[in-house]
Amino acid sequence: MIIDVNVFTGHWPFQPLVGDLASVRGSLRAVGVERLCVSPLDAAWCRNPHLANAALYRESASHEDVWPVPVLDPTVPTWRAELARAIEVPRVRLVRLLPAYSPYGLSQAEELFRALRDAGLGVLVQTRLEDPRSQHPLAPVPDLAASEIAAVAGQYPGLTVIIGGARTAEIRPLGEPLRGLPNLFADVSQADGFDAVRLLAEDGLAEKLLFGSHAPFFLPHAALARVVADLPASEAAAILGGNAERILGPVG
Amino acid sequence: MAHLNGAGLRGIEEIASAPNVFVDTSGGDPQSGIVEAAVAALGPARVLYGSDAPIRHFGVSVGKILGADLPEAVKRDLLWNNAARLLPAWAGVGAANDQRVPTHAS
Repeated sequence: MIIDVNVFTGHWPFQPLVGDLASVRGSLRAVGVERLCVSPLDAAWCRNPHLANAALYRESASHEDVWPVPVLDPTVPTWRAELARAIEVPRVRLVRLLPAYSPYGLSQAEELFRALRDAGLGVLVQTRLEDPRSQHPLAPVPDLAASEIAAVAGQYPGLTVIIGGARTAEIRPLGEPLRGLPNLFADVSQADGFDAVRLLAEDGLAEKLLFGSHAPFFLPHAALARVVADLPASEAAAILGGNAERILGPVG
Repeated sequence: MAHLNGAGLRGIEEIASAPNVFVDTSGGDPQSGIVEAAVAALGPARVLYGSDAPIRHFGVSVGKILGADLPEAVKRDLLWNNAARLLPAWAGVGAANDQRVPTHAS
């Protein structure tokens, strides 16, 4: 069973992605993904990212394998109403934050973190969407430090916090909080490098890593390969879906 | 030209008119569509598999080609045949299994 916690659908202004939901879903189903946690890509560059959520809800309504992950922005004055809408949507288990794209600091999201905790929703906070080296020169977006996201988990013990899109070199130094905080997880959608996921597992993080593809930016084949190539079956199964099912609820 | 991802969608076009310049598929993340873009701009004979090891994961590097929206024959060219045609006989790579691709030297 494979659960992908880091999927997008929509358009990206800087490269011709095939981002319609049918194509993204098809590409992931083809490699065995059974549950997709999908956010609207159009939210990243929209001054009111909430406007992208409605289309996601509409397009995913007929797909039981798609768990919508709306983007919330605590600097948009109506974020409470947007959260209230999200709570009513079937299969919403997570909310995604894109702080670097608004931009805002995580200290501005404290009320939102409390509200998510009280609503029983988890939060995936994205460190990056694109490698800064390949960004458009007129639209550079700095990475959000993964350590800042880890700190949120310490501040809100009842809130499930997922570090989204962090590089291997950022995840490994966070081994201590990842092992120590039961509510903190990291996805491996951008954890590249020679033997990267094996090294993370050897750090004692196999129970704290979640499979993510970063589709449609990245190829699902590659995302799957970095998890299954170097790990024993039990650890691979945990990362591919067991850990996500434990925190997000059962598939099916 | 090493590192397709480093060259990017513009860099591919920089070498389009130079038939003796090849690009390898390594470097950067497993970006969707970029291998297809290179093949479309340069033709399937001028794109070569590269892993970027030990920086990148072999599975991810191979996955960039296996997951690309390309015919199986083109994937075989990228993963083996194109390099086999370029490397000298003493490298012991073995021959490509189809016609030799013209290069500037042939």
